[in-house]
Amino acid sequence: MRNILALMVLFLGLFLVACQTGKASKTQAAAAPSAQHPELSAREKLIPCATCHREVTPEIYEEWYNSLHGLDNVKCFQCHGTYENFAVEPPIGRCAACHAREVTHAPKNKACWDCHPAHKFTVHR
Amino acid sequence: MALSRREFLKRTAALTAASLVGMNLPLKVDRAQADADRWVRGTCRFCGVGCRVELGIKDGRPVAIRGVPQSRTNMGYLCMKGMLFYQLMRHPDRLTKPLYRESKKEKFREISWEEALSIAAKKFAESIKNHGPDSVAYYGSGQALTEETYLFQKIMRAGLRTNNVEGNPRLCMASAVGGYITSFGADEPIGSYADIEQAFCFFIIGSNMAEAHPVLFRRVMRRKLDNPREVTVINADPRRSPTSRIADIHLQFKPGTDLALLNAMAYVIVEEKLYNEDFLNNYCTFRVGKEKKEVSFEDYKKFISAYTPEKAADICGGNITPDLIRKVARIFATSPATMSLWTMGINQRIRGVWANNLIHNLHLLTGQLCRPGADSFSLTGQPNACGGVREGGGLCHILPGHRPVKVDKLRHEVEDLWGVPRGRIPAKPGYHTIAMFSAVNEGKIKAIWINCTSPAQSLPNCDKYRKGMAREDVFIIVTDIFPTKTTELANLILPTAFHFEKTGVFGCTERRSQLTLKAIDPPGEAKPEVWIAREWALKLAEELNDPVIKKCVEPFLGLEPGYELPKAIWTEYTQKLTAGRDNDLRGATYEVLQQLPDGVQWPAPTKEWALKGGTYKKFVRGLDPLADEHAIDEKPYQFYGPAHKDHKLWVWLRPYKGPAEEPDAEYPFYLSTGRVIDHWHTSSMTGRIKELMRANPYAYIEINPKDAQRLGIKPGDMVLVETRRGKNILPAKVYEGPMEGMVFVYWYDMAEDRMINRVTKDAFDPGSKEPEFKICACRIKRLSGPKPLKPYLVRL
Repeated sequence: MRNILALMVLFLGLFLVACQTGKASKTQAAAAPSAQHPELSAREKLIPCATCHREVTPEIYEEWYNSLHGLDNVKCFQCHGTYENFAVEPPIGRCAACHAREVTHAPKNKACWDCHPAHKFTVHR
Repeated sequence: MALSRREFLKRTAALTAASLVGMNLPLKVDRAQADADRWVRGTCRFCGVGCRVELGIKDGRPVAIRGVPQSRTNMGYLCMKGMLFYQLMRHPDRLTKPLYRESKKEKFREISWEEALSIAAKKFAESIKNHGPDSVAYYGSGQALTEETYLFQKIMRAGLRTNNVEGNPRLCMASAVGGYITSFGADEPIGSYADIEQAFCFFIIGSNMAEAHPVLFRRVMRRKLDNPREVTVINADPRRSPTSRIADIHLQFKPGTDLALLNAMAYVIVEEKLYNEDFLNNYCTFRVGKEKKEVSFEDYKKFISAYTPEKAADICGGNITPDLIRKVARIFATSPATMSLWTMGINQRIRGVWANNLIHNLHLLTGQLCRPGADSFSLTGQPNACGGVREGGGLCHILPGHRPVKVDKLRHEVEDLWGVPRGRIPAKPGYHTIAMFSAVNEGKIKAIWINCTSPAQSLPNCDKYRKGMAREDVFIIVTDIFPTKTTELANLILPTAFHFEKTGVFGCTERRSQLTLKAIDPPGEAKPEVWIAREWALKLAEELNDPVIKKCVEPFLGLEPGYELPKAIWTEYTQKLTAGRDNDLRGATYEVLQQLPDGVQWPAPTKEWALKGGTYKKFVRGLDPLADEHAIDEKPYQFYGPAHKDHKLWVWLRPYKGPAEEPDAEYPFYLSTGRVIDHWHTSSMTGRIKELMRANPYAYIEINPKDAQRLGIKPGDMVLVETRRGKNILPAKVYEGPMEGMVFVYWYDMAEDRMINRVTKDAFDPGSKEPEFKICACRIKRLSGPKPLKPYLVRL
């Protein structure tokens, strides 16, 4: 029961974060907003993101795991970075590493996930 | 790890509710593309695929890497290693000054290049004067540029008069070379990556290409997902890996029994008359034994009758049934186009050449060759194992341009082309890798130059060879960019320029040569290897008072090392040494390579042909200019390979033979080793990229859940792994990957407790001399619950 409660609280929190992300993507905020992640020890930072997020955010994990990115082993850090350079909403430059042409041709006022659902990256919304 | 995760969940929940403490992670950084002043084109160096990349430079510093969408290798895609390796160029651990110690017991001290090169020359010269030319050796790498391998081997062979020229490709693709030469008469694949988009059946055996060749795997995955009904993927591997996720059929057999499986597939093809009679009649002969005796199809049928699916299923175990063998043989034979793909699971075996032959046999029997989508395609592990080492003369038995050392005519041809006296290159091949390090153990080799590789970690049964490398009477020079387990045993460490800090060519798996241009200066006093080799040769010429050594580098004297020097070396190699050979690269000049987004596939005898991209498929008239040039009849395929004077493809009668060491009562498990996607080889580079090290901070031992339950091993428990050679202590990953009775360990970890090559076996294929890394016997035991572990890297 405690676990279920904890997860409910967690998802509420993530929902709020997601709302904030959506908002942020539509405005050019001067100072980037930030998300809170539990403080981790150096050892805990050696646990791959997906190991915990499989349980913390199972929907996102499943979306990714079953996506082309998941099948081809494109991992969380390739888009989101690691602790020193983490971004909930990845900089487009990271997409451009593999999708340089698409990024160049995409509308300048939109991010990739505005049209392709984040983590699934299937077809256009 | 389980505790940490629970703790993480707890803390995450608390934090999200209160938002009081924790790490601030920015939601959004910046939508702009990586901010670079300029992008410089080159090739990734972190596997054999040859992905084309551009390095982004801002204010003289590398800031990003992106793929080149126009490239026919990767179409713009990269894996995590490819997108992040720019971080290594300014890494604080880079070796930036020559370091020396007389005795391996001493600490290193910084010295000047002048002193370093003098010491390097004196030590090699002393050894040659006192013990003869074969007391010195060069051990190179499939990651060295072609210009580097070519120049080093020229100095060693014609300058120092020894064929003791080897390299780590012996450890990964020598069996593939043996297979191609004995089956097709010529090294390297007939087809190309472009066959992937035209194949209908993929037979992936002994390869976890999803992790070892991720960007090429993407193409196979795409082909399958775009044509789910038309395309069948068969994955044959004792371990389920990420590659298996796209498979329609997974063949899981006991390690080392695949020779029986492959012969049984051939049995079905013959029994059910699924073979292509026209192809066999027109292009193939049947061969047996060391004498390569020609036999008839009837003899082959008789031979293969011993490999009924029933018998093979008994040998193979796992999920292999007679019906499953029949099913995959039928799919293989009847698919509109079948492409086989394999890597180390086939090559790193005591019968690796035979295993290669048996895959080729299936293609020859069925005529699944030379057509779009039909090919028998070996994946090479390193970026320049093909171009630099197989083609450039980087192994003890081959000279540049696919010329065997022992053939007098070809050896003299090389001597003439180099302008050195005939007889200068010894007729006898040098030591192959295991023999070379055995000779180090025995004190027969007194001075060895190890370039761009770490045999102290990557040799099988490495403790045995580290003892020799630690000898005080063996002088070891290491050229590298970071400290490694091998620099720990060096006398002289020479800091080298990294990728994009120098110019040169890599030749990838599909016969494709691609140029990487120098974009930035190397840090500190690090130098390109071509400069180091040239200057060393000049000092050797003085020490040994031998003008022929100077002659080896004379065409390159005074040239600027960043571009002009490698260009001159490439020009000599391609225009002189590949002229008239099957890997003719005369058309692939630096200028041509710079004009194309993705280089040139040989044969490319002229600039006109090279500018079209070269040859997509060998041996096919109209597609391969040499097929027309060497045609002996009007048939559409012309197999002009230098090793088969009959212009035929050879179907080999190869019996089943198991591994050198099979499990028994004392050591009841199969131990196999391999790679993970985040790390490259010994992790001396990828371990220094935070994202990659965190993704895979230490090696695990993968254990099948049934075995783990039986032995009381839980995830994260510390497990003792013992073989007849030594032991490791590794954390457990309980995982439906390896089959029951088998464990699997990643080999990148350089921590002594987790360095798996301390326990692997150094038995090797008698033909290719490639060791059987993939199979040995071990026992395992739970030592304790989870222990805090730290990633480990050698530092000075």
